[in-house]
Amino acid sequence: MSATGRSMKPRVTVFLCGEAHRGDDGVAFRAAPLLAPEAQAGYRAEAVGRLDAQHFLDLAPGAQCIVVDAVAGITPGEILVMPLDRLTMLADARSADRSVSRRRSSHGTSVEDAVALARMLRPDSARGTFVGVGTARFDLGADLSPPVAAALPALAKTLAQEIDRLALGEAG
Amino acid sequence: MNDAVRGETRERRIEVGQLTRVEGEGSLRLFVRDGEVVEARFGIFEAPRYFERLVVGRTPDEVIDIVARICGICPIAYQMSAVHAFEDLFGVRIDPAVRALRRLIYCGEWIESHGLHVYMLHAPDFLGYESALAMAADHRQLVEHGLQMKKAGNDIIKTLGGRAIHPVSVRVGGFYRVPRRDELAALRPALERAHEYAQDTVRWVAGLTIPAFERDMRFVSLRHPAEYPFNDGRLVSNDGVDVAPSAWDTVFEEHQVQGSNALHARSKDGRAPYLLGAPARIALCADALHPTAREALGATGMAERVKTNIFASIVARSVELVHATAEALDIIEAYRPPSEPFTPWRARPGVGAWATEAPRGLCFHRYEVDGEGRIAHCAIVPPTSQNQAAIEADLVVAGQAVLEMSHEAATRHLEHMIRSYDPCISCATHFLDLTIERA
Repeated sequence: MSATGRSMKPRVTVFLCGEAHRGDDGVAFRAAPLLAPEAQAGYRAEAVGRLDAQHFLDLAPGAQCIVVDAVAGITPGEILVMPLDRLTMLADARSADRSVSRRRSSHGTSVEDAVALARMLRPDSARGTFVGVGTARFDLGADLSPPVAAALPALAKTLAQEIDRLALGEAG
Repeated sequence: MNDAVRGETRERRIEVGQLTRVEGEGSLRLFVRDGEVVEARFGIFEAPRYFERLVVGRTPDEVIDIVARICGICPIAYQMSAVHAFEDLFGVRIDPAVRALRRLIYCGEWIESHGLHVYMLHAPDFLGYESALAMAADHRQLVEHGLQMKKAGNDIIKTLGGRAIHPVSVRVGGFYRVPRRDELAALRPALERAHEYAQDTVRWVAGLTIPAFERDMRFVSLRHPAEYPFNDGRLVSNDGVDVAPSAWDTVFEEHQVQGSNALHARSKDGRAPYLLGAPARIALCADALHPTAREALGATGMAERVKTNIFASIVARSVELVHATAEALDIIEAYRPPSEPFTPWRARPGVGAWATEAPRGLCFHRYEVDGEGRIAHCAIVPPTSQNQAAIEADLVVAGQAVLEMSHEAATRHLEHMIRSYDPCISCATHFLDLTIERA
C-alpha cells in the first residue's frame, strides 16, 4: 500500500531529524508513527537525528527522500513544504553572506549544507522534499508545545501525500 | 579591523565574525602595550548550560544518559568519565569483554570527531577554502573520505550505544545490551576502508605547509603502560605530574575568569598552562600507539614538531585516526560477547571521580553520592576549558605576528590557530570577535 493504502515496494526514504527529548525538536519522531506501516506504505523511515551529506550519499542514485525537521522562525505548528533544491539556494545565499552563518554549529551540518554538499559530491543525490514544522520551544522533555502537538495530524497527512507523490516518480 | 580610542587606551578591533568551524560562541581580545601583545583573553558568552545542577538528585545510571547530552560530538567521553567515577566509588569490577567494548565505542568517537575535524574543519585552512563545502568542489575525494570516516565512527557508536548521537546503552557496570559478533563483524568493511584513508591522510597532512610557530608546551594526558589511553592509566604530564585519574583535583583546579561563562583550569602549584588532546597524547604516549599508527607517525618525520607547533596538531589527529581504526579492527576481531552485559552493583555514599580521554583531551568528572544513592554534588571539567589558558598563552605569541597584517590575513591566521586546538566551546560553555587594545 502507499502511505494512503496502495501496495508498492518501498522507494522513499523519510529522514527524521531532531532530538526527541528537546521539546518541539522531536516533532518528526512523533509524526512518523501516525503514518501507515512502512512495509505497506512504500517508504522507509530513518531516525538520523542530525542529518549529514552521507545520509543522502548512502541512498541509491536518484532515490527520492523526505527530510522532516523542526523549523524556527515560522509560526508554531505551520507546516513548510519545499523541494530540497530550494534548500541548496539557501546554502548558496548563506555562503555569500558570511554574517548569516554566524551562529551555526560546525559540529553539526545544517540541512541545507548537507544537501548542497551531497549534490556537489554526487549530482543525482539529495532528491526530494523538505517538510518542516514551525516550533515554539526547544527545552528539555519529550512534550510538544500545544500548537505543534495540534499540527501532528496535518504533518502526517502531508508526509503521506509527499511519499505518494515521490513514489510515483514526480520530481521532488 | 577597526581602530577606536578609549581614554588612554587605543582599541583596535578586528571582528572575526565568521569563525564557523569551531563549536560555540566567544570572542578574542588582544591587549597590546608598547607594540607587544601582553595578553590574549577568550571571552566565552555562550550561555551556561547547568548540567552539573541537572544531575543533582538523580541516580548514577540517569546521570550517564544526562551527561551524554552535554556534547553531540563527544558524548562517549562524558559517559565514560561518569561511569568510571561511579564504578571506582562502588567497587565495580567489569568483564574484560565489556572493557574492550568501552575502548571500541571510544574508538568510534575519536574516528567520528577527528574525521570531522581533520577533513571538514581544519583541512580548508591549509588549502585556503572558506568551508568544506567550498573545498569539495576541488577536493572531492578528500571530503568523501571525511564523510565516510565520520560515518564509520558513528556506526560503531550506533551499534554499541543504540544511536550515534547521545547514545543510550552505556550504564554503570557495562552496557544495557552488548552486540553479537556478527553485528560487530558488519562494521569491518567500512573500518578497513577508514583505516586505509587514515594512513593516506597522515601522508597527506605531513606534506601540508604548516605555519611557523614554536613554543615549548606543557602536556597532560592519561598514560597507560600497555595501551594508548582512553579510560585507564595514570594522569601524567611532561613535567612530573603522575597521579591516579581520580585525583585530577589534587593537582588542578577550576577558577572563574572575568568575561567568560566557562571556568578555566589551572595547576594548583602555579605552573604554566597545559595542553590536552591529540598533541599531548602523542607527546606522552606515542610508544603505546598501535604499530601501524606508530609507523605512520615515524614516516612523517614530525613526531617532534607536533610537540612545539600547534598548527601541526592535524598530524597528531590523523595519526590517532590510524590508531583508532586499527584498534577498532583488532577489538572486533578478538571479540567474544561477555556472559552478562553488565556487572550488578550497589550504590554507596561517598565521592567518585575519574578522568578519561575525550578526542580533545582529558574530561574529568567528580560526583558526591548521598546515602540514598543519588547525586548530591557534581563537577565536570571538559577538555576545552582546560585548554583555554594554553590557547591564550599561544595567542599572545601568535598575536604578535598579526599586528602588522591586514584585517583578512590576521583574522585568517588566528582562526586557523584556534581551530588547531579543535575547541568545543559548547562543552566548555564560544565564536570569535577579536579586539586588540593598545595601551
